[in-house]
Amino acid sequence: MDAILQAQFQRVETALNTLIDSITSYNPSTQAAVNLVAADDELSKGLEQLAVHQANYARILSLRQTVTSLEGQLKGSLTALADLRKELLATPATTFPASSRHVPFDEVLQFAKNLAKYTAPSAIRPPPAKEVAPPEQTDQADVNMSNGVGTPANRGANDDPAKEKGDGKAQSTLTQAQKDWLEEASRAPFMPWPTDNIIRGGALGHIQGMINRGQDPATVLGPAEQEAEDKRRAEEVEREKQEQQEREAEARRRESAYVSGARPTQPPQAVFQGLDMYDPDEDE
Amino acid sequence: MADATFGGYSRFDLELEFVQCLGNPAYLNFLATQKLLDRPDFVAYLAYLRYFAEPKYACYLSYPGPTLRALELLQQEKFRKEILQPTVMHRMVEEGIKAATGDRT
Repeated sequence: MDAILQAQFQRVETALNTLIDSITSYNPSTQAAVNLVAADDELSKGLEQLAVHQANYARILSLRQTVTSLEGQLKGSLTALADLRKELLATPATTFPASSRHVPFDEVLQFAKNLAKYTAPSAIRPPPAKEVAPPEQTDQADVNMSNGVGTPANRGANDDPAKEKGDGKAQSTLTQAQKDWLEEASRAPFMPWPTDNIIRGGALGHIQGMINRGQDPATVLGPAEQEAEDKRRAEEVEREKQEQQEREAEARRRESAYVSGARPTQPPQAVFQGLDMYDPDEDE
Repeated sequence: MADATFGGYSRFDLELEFVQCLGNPAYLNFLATQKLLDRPDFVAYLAYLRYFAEPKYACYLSYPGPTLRALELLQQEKFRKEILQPTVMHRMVEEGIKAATGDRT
């Protein structure tokens, strides 16, 4: 590139010198001027080529940079992959010893979830060192008091912002903490077994009610049996209706036989219209 | 025979309900006052109900802890005699509640 430009500069210089010489020797030659112009054009072209050359060079440099960065990325990915593979092979897989018992843990967890409702009261906090009485005693008064003592002590940090909120609002609205406390106080004490209400409301209580009313539980049908019974009755009703319809159809046929038998005699009897006592539709 | 219902409930339904009611000490006290715990056929029935301790039946219990504990206690004649006393019943209530709340005192 430089050599090309050098040559062109040289040509411009020569042409210029020739022209100057020709002018200083009072022998202006237009050819020299033309040569100069041509050389100048060549030079411009050369400069453009230089610009393109430099752009290309810059592009080459940037592409080289991209290549190195991508190579680096690739190397990094491959090393990471190799490390992961090593790690994966190194993690020990648990093998169950032959003596272990198969535990259906998902069933056990499901069972535990179902039981949680009945095992401990919903607002349970494990009794810590301080005197928080468990909120279930058979004495109702104790329940209210222990709840009153226990709840503020347990609510700790939530109390202050809750109280401030309470002061800011109107008196009719209660803060969440107060609402919860009221609900706890009114709720019946928790028992980890079915209470009297639950027992009375269950199947055995229901049967006891039936006995008290004089209804024999042995005659009461279960839901499946009841359905079967209902279906049978419906079928019977259907059958009866069909028979009824058949009987009616029979009767109508008999009547129509009567009618067709009676019709030929009608015109001769037209004279006795008023005295005609025979009504073909009447069925004795 | 297994499909027979009584009052609209299957036999398993009723036995399941009854065995869980046994978890309530007040109910046990009531049974004692009705002199039911003295009848040998009732005691035999309680022994028969021990099948609820097996996993495939125990999974139907909503209150397994108190239920199975009461069932085992009821197998002992001493307990059947003592549960008639209200003090024993109250103690059982207390212990049951303490166990439920995780109070280890």
